[in-house]
Amino acid sequence: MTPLATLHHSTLSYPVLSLIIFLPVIGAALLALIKDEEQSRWFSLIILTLTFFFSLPLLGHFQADVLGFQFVEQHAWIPGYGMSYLLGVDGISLPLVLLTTFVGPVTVLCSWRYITHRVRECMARLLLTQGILTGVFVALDMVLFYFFWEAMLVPMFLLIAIWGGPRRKYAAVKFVLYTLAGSIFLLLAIVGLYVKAGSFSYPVMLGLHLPPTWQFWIFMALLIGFAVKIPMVPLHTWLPAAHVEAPTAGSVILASVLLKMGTYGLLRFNLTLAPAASVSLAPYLIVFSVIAILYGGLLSLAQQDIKKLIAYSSVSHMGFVTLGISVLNIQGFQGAVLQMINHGLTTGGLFLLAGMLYERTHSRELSVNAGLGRLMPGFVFFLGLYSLSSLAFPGTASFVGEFLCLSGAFKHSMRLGAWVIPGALIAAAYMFRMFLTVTWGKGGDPKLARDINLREWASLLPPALLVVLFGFYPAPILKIMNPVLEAIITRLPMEKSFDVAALISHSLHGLLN
Amino acid sequence: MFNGILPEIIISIAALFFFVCALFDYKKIFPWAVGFGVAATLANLVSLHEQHSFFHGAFMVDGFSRFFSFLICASFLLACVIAGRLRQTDQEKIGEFFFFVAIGTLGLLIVTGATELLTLFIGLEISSYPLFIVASYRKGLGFQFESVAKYMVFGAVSMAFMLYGITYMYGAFGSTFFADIIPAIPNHLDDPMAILGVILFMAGLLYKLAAFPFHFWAPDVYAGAAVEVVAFIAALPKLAAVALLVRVSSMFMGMDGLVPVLTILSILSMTLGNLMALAQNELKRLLAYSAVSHAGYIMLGLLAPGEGGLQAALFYGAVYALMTLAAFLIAIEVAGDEHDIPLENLRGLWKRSPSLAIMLAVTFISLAGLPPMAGFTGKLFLIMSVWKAGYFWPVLAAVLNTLLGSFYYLRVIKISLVGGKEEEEPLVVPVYIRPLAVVLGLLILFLGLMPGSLLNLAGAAIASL
Repeated sequence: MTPLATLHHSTLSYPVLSLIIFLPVIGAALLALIKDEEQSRWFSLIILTLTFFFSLPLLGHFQADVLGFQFVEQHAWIPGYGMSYLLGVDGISLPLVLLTTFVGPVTVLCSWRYITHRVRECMARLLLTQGILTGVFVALDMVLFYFFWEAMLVPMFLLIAIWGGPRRKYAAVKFVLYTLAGSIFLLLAIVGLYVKAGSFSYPVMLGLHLPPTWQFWIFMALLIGFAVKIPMVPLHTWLPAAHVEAPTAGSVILASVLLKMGTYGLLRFNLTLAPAASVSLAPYLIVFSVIAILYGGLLSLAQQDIKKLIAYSSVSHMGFVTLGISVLNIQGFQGAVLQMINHGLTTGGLFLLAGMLYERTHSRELSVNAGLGRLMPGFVFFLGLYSLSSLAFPGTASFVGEFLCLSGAFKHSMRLGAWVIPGALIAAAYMFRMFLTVTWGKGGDPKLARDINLREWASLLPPALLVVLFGFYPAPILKIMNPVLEAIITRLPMEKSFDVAALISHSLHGLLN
Repeated sequence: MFNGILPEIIISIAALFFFVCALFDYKKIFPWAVGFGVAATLANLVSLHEQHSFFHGAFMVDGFSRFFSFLICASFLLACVIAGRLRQTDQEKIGEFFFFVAIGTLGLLIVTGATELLTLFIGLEISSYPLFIVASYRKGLGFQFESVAKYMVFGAVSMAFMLYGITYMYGAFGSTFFADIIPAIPNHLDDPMAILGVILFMAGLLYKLAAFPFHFWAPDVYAGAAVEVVAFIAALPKLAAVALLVRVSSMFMGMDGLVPVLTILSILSMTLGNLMALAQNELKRLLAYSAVSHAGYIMLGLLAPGEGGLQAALFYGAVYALMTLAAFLIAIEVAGDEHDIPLENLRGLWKRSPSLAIMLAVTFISLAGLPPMAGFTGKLFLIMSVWKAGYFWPVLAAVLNTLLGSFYYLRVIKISLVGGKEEEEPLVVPVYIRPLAVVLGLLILFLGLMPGSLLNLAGAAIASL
């Protein structure tokens, strides 16, 4: 058994992971009892803040130098079918879990006045999404993972479809269908792994040594499921639609946490369950990542709609994450995980700001909002900070992540590095374009400008602090994730072990004859 | 010994009672129907562990038949409760309605316990003819004649196929008793007469299950008959058909050519049902085509008898009956006086009746086969066992069909939860419907998250075969 699969039982006296999953879910159920809208807002805020505080002991009691999963909770679920209720965190999932619980209260704060009808239901959806997303990152049983993965669809669908913009139904349906189309392949892969391993437990599956054909197809099926979520070009077209139409809270959840589900899956499952296939297929992933970085950046440069601009920048940034994963070296991995966290904080913050502009001018067009920033000093402060972080300015969090991804790429090959560098440049171009237009452009109606209030400060400040903190001092996160990332690398075979083209033609041959 | 057939006895008494009520034009039958339903369901708990053989081995009381008699009695009860006011049925015919439904249920109970081919056939006939009659009890004039005619003609033809198959099987095996047939099967694995007999026999089952290619009656009957009648037709006979598939068809799965035939039929059933459902704008027709696709899923279980496929089929059958009744609860409540139930009737349901809207979302997510609902868990068990048995293509087809199905199920959810004005008139429903909807919704969720108990029951039922 690999050390990666070791299960360390919790040092805490209570089931902390179940608590942070089910506290929001129970809260969502309790919301049915609260009739008053204002009370339901406060109630959700309190529940999510509590959840965040309950998740902090994870950080305090996490043993960074121990491999394997910690805070493990294991209970029989359906024994005859190899399913169990198995939760645990390791160095990859811990930062993401904390990011999820951290973003929770922010989503309630940004919906405070934005959501004006069916408030109670909206808050219930936010709570439900929060619990389910946490579950995705801590589930170690593949069926449980798939439960959380799919259960997230319905509240998100309703969040976009009920409280979204003018084309909300189109965007919501597109989002769900894309994700479903991807996740049926995920289900296939999971059942296939079960057939081979006789259990749905991920630690058990780590002990599998699959033949190359199986590895290839498992890798492909998992990849399709995750690539839709990341989203990788060319499966990214649901993202701008969903981002543009979603309410601010929906955009924040999408950008901060939901997209990370895909890259988390790629790093966690693809690389460990199909290591030989990963090594052989990584070059293709690199190509798609580079396309995402450049193409996403160029698209972002051309947008007039602020949310669309940020959405395409997400495609580009997630390209850096997949690039970091697919160069298969430690710098790349570190960069990828850091970039996931940083992108969550930064892009979440940018969507908060876009939502605030929309609340003031009821438009997301750059030209309508041009020049308003001058009149809102507090707003511009945060816009500047988050924009700088988004373009990976030194001293902000994204710089560290992107730098590590880039150095991973350079270590992989100089030529690859040369391909990616323009991506960083384009990022500067589109972010400055937005920042300059919103701040000093001409065309906005100055009467609509109103600086951010205390509640908005409260939602913007915490992520901003972290952005700066991680920009100067990323060592704690690196320390948490290093052992597991190194263990994943050592599991990968050194050489490409099979010929992809031959394998595909062989499979086709088997299909046709 | 009579403990074992207590449910059958209670349902028979109920049928006679309703008959007398009909004679004396007594209209307040509903509480009695519920009472008999409760009694029959509870009686199953008494008879759950009984083991008896009746009529020289033609009818068996065993774990398997009691499992299904429990499900059928519970579905009978549930269908009676949701039928409640009989909104679309001719009020003059209330007594007859319950009489025929009870007789049909009795027939289904006979089918699930039959261990002799002719007893089984008679049970099927007893269950079919009353439903042909109630299918015509539609208030006012409509398409009911066409639908009843289709139901009956298709029923008669497929029953004839089945009887024909039984004669072939008798010819091949020399007996109609399962006790004699089972030991003889290994000698007839490539006997064309036996194989033909089994395939013809399956025709009757596929008709009951509304599976391809015997599904053509379903949309018209669903759309034409009164909605409370459809609730019965959609749930109860399906359970008996699943019982027959598992008890009878699975005996013959080792025969030459049966596995490919079944695989192809199940894939076609899933795919065609889903494709046709995509285009529907009427709730009952949509549910009819969805029934066709679900029949395909259930048939998958037969491919993997050794890997828990039968157990999974039982589980899925039970869950399917539950989901169908839940869906028809909503259909009955939103049905207007007009003939159809357009999906537009669901618009604004979240405002008109929030609890029904949430229950509808739960039910349709479950029908679509998305976690964490029971429909997903059932499908997962099915595809797990089928893949374990070594069949990949049916698994792929089932998974792709889940995607296809979610298009129209999600559309229903979207219409009922998303659209609509802020000011809608609240839906007037009987007092017991709202708590019932909550309970059904929770039950679907519970079976999705904690399928263990039902799965164990299904496993015990299979083990008693």
